[in-house]
Amino acid sequence: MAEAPDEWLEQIKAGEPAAVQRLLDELSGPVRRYLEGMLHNPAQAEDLAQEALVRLLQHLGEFRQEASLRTYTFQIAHNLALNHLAAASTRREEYGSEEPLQAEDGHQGALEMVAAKEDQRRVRQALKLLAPQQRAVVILRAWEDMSFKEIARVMGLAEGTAKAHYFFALRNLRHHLEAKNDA
Amino acid sequence: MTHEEALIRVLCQGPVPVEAISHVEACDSCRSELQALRQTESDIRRAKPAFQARLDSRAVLQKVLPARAHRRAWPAVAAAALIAGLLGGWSFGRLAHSSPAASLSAQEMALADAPWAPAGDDSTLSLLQAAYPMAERFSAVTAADAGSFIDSE
Repeated sequence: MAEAPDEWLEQIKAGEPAAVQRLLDELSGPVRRYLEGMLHNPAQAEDLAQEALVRLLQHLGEFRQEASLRTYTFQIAHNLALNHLAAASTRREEYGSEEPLQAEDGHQGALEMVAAKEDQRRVRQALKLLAPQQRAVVILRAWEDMSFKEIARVMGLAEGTAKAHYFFALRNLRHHLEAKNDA
Repeated sequence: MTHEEALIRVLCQGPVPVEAISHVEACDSCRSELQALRQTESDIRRAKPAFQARLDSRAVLQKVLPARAHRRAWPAVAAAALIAGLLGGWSFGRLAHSSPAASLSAQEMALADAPWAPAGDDSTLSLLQAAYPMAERFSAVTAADAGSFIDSE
């Protein structure tokens, strides 16, 4: 990231269209990835990511810069995801699209690439088995490189609680992965 | 200090108390679990999707822009109609078509330095000013679109 979105905030408020475009470009990919990790449904992740950015722009005037713009955006996305999952649970909606996420290929050989993709698929399947709060903390930490302070703010938790969620999430994930290996 | 407390402190970033380090170093079970948790962390990082497909910013802007433009535009339309009525001799419809205010698009009127804008709402106007030229470049937002966005709110 060459420049933090917060530095563009003044430019956005000053009416620079390029800054708005940059803000959307910078945040839409990570927010979409986070929501896809949370929902395991690419189409709904895209819809919610769009909704999160719409709400960000609509409420930018209320942004008090107590957190970073990135954290604020993820906070909106996180709340949307939890509401969506709660509603889906009420509707008994089944999540778990088998549509694979595009993986990082690098320059591996074909067999190694297949094995790596299989490993990635297993981990993502195991992620689905976690409770939403645990899934969120793992994705924010491991995929978005957030500090526990940032994660706590996104999720509206105390920092210690976010760390405890992370620890128990890793422990549960390990059990799920080991169970899959044994099966 | 319990096994879990020691592991959380060692695993997560931040200053680690000596007590936690001593516990993990002395406890076979904790050492083994810490290693396994670090491996799981590494597995998750490797499962991170590479793609960062961006969203279509037009779709985002079109959802933000028309509603604001429409909300901000109606007082301008009302003011134009009132002026037209006071001047007399012209039908409202004809004047509405010929008056500069009425010929502006909803977005253009929203961009005017509106005296009716509520105090403390500068950021909204600034955002609109930022978003408008870009959205216009991409595609014109029709009045019908604006109406439908208002209705959907």
